Amino acid sequence: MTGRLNRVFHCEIAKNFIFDRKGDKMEKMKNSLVPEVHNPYQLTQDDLDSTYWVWDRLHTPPGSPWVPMFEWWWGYGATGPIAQAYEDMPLPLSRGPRARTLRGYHIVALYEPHSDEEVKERAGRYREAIRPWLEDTDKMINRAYSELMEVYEKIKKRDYQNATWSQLIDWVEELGQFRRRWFYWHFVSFAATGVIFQDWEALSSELLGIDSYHPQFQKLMTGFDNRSFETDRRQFKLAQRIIELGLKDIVARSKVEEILPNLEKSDNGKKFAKEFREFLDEFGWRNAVVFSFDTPSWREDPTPVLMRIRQFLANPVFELDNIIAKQTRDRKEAEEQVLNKLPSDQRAWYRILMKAGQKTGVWSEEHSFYFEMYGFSAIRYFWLQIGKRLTQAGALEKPDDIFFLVGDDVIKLLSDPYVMKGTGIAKRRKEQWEEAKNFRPEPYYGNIPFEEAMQRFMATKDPPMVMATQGRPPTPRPELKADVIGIIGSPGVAEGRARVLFSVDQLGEVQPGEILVALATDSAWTPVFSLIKAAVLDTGAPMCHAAIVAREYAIPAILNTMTGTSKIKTGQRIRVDGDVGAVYIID
Amino acid sequence: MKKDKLIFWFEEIGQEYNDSLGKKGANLGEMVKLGVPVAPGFVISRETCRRFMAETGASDQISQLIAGFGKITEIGQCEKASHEIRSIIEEKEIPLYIRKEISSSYSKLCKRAGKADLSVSTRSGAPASRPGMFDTYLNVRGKKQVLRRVKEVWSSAFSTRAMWYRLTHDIPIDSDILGVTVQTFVNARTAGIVFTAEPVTGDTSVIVVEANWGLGEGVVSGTMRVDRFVLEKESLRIQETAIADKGTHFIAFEQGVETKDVPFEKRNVPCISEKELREVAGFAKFLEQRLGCPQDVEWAIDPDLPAGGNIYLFQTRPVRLGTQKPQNPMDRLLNIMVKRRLQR
Repeated sequence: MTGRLNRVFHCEIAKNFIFDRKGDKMEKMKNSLVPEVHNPYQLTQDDLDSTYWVWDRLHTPPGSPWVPMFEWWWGYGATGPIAQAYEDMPLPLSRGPRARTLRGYHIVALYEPHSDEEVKERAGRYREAIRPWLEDTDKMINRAYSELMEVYEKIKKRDYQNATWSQLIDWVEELGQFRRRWFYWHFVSFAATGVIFQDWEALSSELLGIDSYHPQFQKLMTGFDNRSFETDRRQFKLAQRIIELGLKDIVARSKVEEILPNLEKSDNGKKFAKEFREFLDEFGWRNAVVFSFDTPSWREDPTPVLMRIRQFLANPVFELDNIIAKQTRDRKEAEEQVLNKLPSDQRAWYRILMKAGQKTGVWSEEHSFYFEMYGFSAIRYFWLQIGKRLTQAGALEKPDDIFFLVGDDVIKLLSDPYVMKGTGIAKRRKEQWEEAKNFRPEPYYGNIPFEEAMQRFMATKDPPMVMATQGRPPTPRPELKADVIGIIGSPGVAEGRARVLFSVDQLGEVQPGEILVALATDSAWTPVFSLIKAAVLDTGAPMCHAAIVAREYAIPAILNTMTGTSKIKTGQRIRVDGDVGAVYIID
Repeated sequence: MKKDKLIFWFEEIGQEYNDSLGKKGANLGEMVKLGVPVAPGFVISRETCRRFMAETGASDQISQLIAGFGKITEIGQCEKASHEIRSIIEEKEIPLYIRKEISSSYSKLCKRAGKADLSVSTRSGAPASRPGMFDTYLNVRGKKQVLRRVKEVWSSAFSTRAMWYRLTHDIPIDSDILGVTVQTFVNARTAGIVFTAEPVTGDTSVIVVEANWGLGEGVVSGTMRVDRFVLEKESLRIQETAIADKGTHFIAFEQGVETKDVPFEKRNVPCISEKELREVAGFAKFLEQRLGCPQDVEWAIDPDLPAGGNIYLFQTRPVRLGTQKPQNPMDRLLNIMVKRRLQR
C-alpha cells in the first residue's frame, strides 16, 4: 500500500478498536482488554450440564482458596493425568475424579463408566493392572517415589542464577510435564492401594467376622515404621547429638532464632550445624503449611525442628522405638491367628491380600512425604528462584509475587523480563484472592437431586473418594453416661488434661501427658503423638491418620465424636476410654 | 411325625434328595448309584436339624435373642450374637429319639467296617453349595464325639461368617438348616483331585491329576506343593509328570486332623504309582461318560485296603471350563477381586 492509504487503513482499524464513538478511548480499553479470568479449568455451565460437582472442603476449606500458582498446579494439572491414571488402573465402576476451580476453591466430580460394555472391558484390564500391586506392592510404590525424588534432586541442583532466560522457560515447561507425572502416580497409587484395602477389609469381614473397626484387624495394620516416624526419629537423634557434643547448655540458653548462630561459634557447634543442615536437606523439604507454595519450608525456617529438638532435650525418649518391637510381635501373632482361622483353601490368597493390604496403611501415612511435603516444597523453591530472577530484571516487585501468577504468565515474563511487567497482574490477582476468602461455593452443583448424586458416587466404590468420606457415626450408648462418644480408633484407657487444638500451628502448645482434642490430624501432626496420652477427634475412620499413629504409639484414640472440640475445653481433666469409645469430663 | 425317617444311607438316595438332605449327601447317593467306590455313610436329614432346634426350644430362644439385638449393622455385633447363639445350641441335649437314631446308625456303620470305634467325618450340607461357610469335622471317633460334632455342625449354621453372609444377602437370619453327612473317615495315604479336561485351557483330550501325601485337604486347598500328572484321555497313557518337592500335608491326629511337614524321604518321590494313577483317571473318565461332561473329582487312597481296590471317591462335579478354580492363589485372588469390583 502507499503511505497515504496505509495511514487511512490503520486509522480505520484504530477507530473501531480503540476509539469509542462517543469519545472515551481509555474506558473502552480498560473494559475490553483486561483479562481477569485466567483459568481454563474454571467451573462452567458446560460442566454443570454434563455432570454433578461437589465443593472439596478438605483441600479448600471455607476462607482458604488456593493462590493462583497452586490453582495452576492442581486445578489445571489434575484432570488430564487423573483420567490417564484411571485408564491404566481401570477400576471397573469408576473413571476417577476430575478437577475444576471456582475463585480458588476446588470443585470435584466423579466420573462413572458410560455403559455396561465399558465396565466389562475395564474389568478385564483391571485384573492385569492390579496384579503387580498384589505381587510386589513395595516395588510399585517405590517406583513412584524414585521418579519423584529424581525430579526433586534435579530441581534442587540447578543453577538458577546463571541460567539463560531460554533455559528458565524450558524448566517451566518441564515442571508442567512433571505435574502430569505427579498426579498420574498419585492417583494410580491411591486407586490401587485403595481397592486392595477395601477388598481386604470386606473379605476379612466375610471370612473372619472382623473389619477395620475390630481390634484384631487393627493389630494387623500396626507395627510398621514409615518416613513420618523416621523424620521424628532423626530429630530425636539430633537432640542426642547435642547432648553428646556438650551443646545442651547453649541450646537451652539461646532464643530459638539465636540457636544456630550461637552454635556456629564453637567447633562442636559447627559440627552439629553441619549435621543439622544435612538433616534439613533430607527431611526439611516441607512447607509449614504442607498444602501451599507460599509458606516457608523447614529449610528456610527451621524453627519447628529446633522446637522439636528442644522437646526431646527436655524428655530424651523416642517412645516409638520402645514400642514398635512389641507392636510388630503382636501383629505377627495376629497374622498367624487370622490365617489359622481360615479354611486351608483360602489361606494362600488371603495371605497375599493381607500383605498387600498392610502396605496400604503405610502408604496412606507415608506418601505425603514424597508427593506433597517434598513436592510442594521443591516447587516453592523452584518458583522462588524464578521469581528472584524476574525481580532482578524488574518484571516483579518481589519473588513471592510469583505465587499470584500461573505458568503461562511466567513464560510471558521470561520471554521479555526487562520489558514485560508482572507487577500489575500480581497485584490484581492478590486482590481477587483476598476477596475470594469471603466467597463460598455451593456445597453441591448438579441437575440431579443431591441424594441421587451421593448414591451414584458411592456406587462407583471409588476408594479415594469413598475413603475420604466420614467414618460411621458412633452408635449411641446411653448406658455409658459419657460426655462425648465416638468410634474406637485405638484401644486403651487414659486420663489427663485436655488440649483442644484447631490447627497444626498450635502443636507447640501441647504439653507432655496431655490429651489431644482436635477436628482432624494429618502427617504434619505425627510428632505430637509421642507427647500425648490419648487423642479425641471430631472426625475420622479407623484408617485415618490419628488412628494409625495412635495404634503405633499404643495410646487410646476415639474418632468421629463430632462434638469433642465444642464440648471439651483446654485444661479440663478428662478420661478417655478407647475400649468402648467414651470420653468423660472429670472437672 | 416322630415316625418320619431321619437318617438316610447313601445307597438309599440320589439327586432328588438335594433339598431334604443337602447337596453333599445327595451327590454321594448319586455316586453310589453310578457304581463308583464311595466310603460308606449316612445323611442326617435337614428335618432332623429343624426338629432338634424346635423341640429343644433353641429356635425360640434364638428368635428372642435376635429380636433383642435389634438391627445388626456391625460385624462386632454379629460376632457377639453368633457366640451366644452357638452356645445356646451346643448346650442343648439332643432329644432322645434323635440321639438313638444317630447312635444306632453310627453303630451300624461301625459294624459294616468291622471296627468298634470307627473314625468318621461329619460334614455340613445345605441345598446350595457354600464352600467353607459351615463346619466340617474329620477323624471323629466314638458315639459321644459323633453326637457332639453333629450338634456343632448344626450350630455352625450360626457362625459369624454364615450369619453375616445372610445379613448382607437379604436372607432370613435363621434360615440355614443343615443336613449332616456322616461318612467313614479314610485316613488317606495319598489323595487329590482329577479333572477330565485341562482346567485352564479346556483341552478335553487330557486328564489332569494332582496329588499329595495324606488327606485331600492338602490338594484342594491350593496352598501346598503337589505332584501333577497329565494323561491322554483315550489311552490313559501318561504324557507329563511333574513331581513337586512336597513340604507339607494333612494327616489325622488322635481326634481331628493337622498340617504336618512331609518326612524328608517322601518329599521328592511320587506320592502315587502309575497303576494307581491310571485307576484314578479311569474312574474320572467313567464319571464323565455317565454324567455327560468333564468332571472334577476328589479321590483318596486307603492304606488299609489292598491295591486294585483301595481308591475312594468323595465328590464329583462338572468342570467349569475357562473359569475353573485355578490352583494358583494369585489367580484365585484376582478372580475374587474382579468379581467384587463388578458387584454393584
